[in-house]
Amino acid sequence: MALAKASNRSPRLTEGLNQGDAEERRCSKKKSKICTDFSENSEYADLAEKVFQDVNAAFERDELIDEFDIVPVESKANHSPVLHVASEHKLALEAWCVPYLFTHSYKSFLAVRRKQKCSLSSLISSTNPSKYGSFKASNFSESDRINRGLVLSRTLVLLNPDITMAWNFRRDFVPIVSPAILEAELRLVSLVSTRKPKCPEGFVYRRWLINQAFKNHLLLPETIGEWFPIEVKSIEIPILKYFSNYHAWSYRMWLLQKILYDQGIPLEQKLLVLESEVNCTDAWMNTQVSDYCGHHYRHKLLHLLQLTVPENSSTTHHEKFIARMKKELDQNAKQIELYEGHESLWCHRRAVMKMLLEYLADNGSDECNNSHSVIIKDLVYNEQKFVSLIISDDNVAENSKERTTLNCNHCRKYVAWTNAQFSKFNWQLSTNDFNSSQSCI
Amino acid sequence: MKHSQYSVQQRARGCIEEESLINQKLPKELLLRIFSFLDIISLCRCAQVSKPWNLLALDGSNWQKIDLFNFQTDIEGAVVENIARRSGGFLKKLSLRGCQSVGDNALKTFAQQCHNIEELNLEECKQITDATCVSLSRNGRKLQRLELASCSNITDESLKALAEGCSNLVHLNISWCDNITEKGVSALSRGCNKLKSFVAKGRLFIDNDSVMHLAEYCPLLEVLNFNGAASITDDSIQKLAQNCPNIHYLCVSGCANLTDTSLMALAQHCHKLSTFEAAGCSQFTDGGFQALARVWRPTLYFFAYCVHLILCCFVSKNCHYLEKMDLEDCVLISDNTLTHLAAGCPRLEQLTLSHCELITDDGIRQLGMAPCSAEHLTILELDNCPLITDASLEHLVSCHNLQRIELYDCQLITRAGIRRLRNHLPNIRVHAYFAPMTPPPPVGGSRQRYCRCCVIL
Repeated sequence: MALAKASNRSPRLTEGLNQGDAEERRCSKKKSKICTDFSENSEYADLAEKVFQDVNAAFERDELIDEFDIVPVESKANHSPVLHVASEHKLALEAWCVPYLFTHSYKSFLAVRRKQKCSLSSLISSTNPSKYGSFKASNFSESDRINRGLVLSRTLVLLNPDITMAWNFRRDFVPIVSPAILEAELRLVSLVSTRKPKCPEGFVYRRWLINQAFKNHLLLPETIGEWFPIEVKSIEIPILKYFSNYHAWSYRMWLLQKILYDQGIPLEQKLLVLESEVNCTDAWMNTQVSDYCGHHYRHKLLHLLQLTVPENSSTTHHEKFIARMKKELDQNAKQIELYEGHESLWCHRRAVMKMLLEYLADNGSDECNNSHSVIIKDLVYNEQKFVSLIISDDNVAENSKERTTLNCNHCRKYVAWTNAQFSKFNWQLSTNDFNSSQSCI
Repeated sequence: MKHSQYSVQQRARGCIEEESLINQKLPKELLLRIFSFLDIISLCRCAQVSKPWNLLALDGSNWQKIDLFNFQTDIEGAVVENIARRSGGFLKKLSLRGCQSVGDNALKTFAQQCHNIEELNLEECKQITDATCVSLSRNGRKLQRLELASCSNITDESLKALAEGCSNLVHLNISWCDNITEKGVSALSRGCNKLKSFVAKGRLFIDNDSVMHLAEYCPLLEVLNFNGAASITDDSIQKLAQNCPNIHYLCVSGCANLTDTSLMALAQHCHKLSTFEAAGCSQFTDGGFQALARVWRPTLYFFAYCVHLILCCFVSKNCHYLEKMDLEDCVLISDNTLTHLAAGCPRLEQLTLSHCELITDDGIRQLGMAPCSAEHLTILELDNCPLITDASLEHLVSCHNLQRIELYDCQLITRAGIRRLRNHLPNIRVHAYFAPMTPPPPVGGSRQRYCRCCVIL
């Protein structure tokens, strides 16, 4: 009988899918087939609902869950597939239950979203009525619907964070009005990113959360020293988990810019934030040598450092900035020697050099020409020294290492590029020996 | 819910065919009678057909019972006012459950217009305040049933007003109304002596005094729900039992202070009690329960989480009509209990033994052999009983009516055991943490079809 009921239901479901708006269709295109097949067997729904309740129970028991994953385990024993280590705040699902859980919660979620009380109740009524009785058709009021939608969307984003619809449901129905709610939502996003560190939707939602928090005065400019490091820390987990995590880095950039362009935050605070970010990435740069996104962030960071001038100290700022750029070049040179053949390091060097040259071109003319020319002379000298060192390396260790050759190729390209830049100043680097090239200057 | 909006075309057509065929053939009285069978949506549609139909469809006599639950988010106060004006004295039943945007003003107009209202459901209308209840008490003398669950702005003033104006009140639900105190309940019980059913779930505002007042002034009480009223003690339940002999439903779940004294008092006075819910009353023991079982003819016991319950022969000796028994998390329940239950309760339909960790195959064997199991037993919940093995399932083979069995987390149960049970009882739904035999079909089904073609060729 249950089977007959289910088969009556499936055409309506597919019809509903056709009626859905574009966003829904995009999300459900792949899943719709599973969904319709799935509805033909109500026993799946019972099991999936039970697993779903188990997951929710785990979240109720332990609010601080900080890691989620799917464990490749087959269904062999009759025990719950929800693995929850309460002492360490970890949550995992056994892999076999994921298809059932996902299809079930996705279908229920669609029903909740379309306010299809009837189809939802027919889905639920097949399960234990005493335990899940509050979802009976006659009993399903608006707040019940929203609450169920919220827990469903939580499970959905855990399993597949690319479902924009689920995030949007949370946007619509989670009121960001208290610090506790904000914290819980941020924690959910962090939890999602432990399994899918590269998911753009999570970061978009995080951005929205921060904006809402600013709007509702939950994150105050005075307490920036407290919440900014926490936020940065939570971002570093996905950054470390996934190499060249563009979405995470661009979120970090967004956050920094939001703070810097905010009128309400005092300049000293902004400088402090910038300084802490520079220090933070300093340590990071020493370990990650070929993360383009990270280097790009660093580049942007230096640029922001150049633009943010503290009051009444433009001259010291000028000197400080030049020193900082030189330090950056030195650091980069060390890394290039140490980790050979990473193009991202060379690209970063180019970016820094370009920024420095442009800065000098803009600010140098009205400064006293004496010191200016000294700086440039020094710069070119150092560059020449560095380049010759790399090239000579190639000559010494000929056909010994592939990496070294690669490094030299990068170096030659760099020299060509730098010469094009330097030509404005009538200077030139050469790929020859250091001693011979000194005569060029 | 737009009643009188015609498009220009419709209006023009109405003028030309002033008397269409159906209106010529059928007298207005008959049309009105037909309309009286329609639901709200159809009536509103009919009201848009023509002017005469509009008059007929919106006639108050068609609007005696209105349930707006399906439009809960869309309903504004103005709609309620319109309905009140249209239906006037005809309206007897109105459900505004979940209509969160309906406010006091709309309900004030409503109370003034519909003075014959008997049943009103305002559950989750979160904007209404005491003003609504005051206007209801002024105008709604005939009000019998009122639902105010989850209306968090309601205070004692409302209950006082109701006590003054609505003396005919039979049913009142004030579950989850946080701002009500025991004073309001006392005032209510003085004014509404005809109260038969009183539901106050989930908050602490019900205390001994209020229960005593209820017992004193409302002797007709039949249905009582004090779910979650943790401060109630035995004294008040004793008084209740003495004064209200008609009680047939009592829920004291979560009232952890109650002891066997309450059970004794209930057993002595309330012989009509058929449903008794006492989940989480951990001080109840078999002594009190024995007293109960001797006199009652209950159909349902709900004793989940009563950890001290051992339950022995007395249930089975006296409760021959017992249909449902919930013993979730009563950890002391053992095979002995099952033996007696099986022998003495031939009508048992639903038995919950979740988390009863002492139960073994032997107990299930007794259950399986009992007369109840073959005929009546439909639902058996055994989840989290770690000692149960496949042998239990074989003992249950003779239960022909068994529709659902829960085996979640019974780790000694295997797939093979479940398969054997299914062979004997093909219609049973077994709930366990095993993945279903056939996984949900993968998306790429086209390749399979090709293979089938190959086979045919």
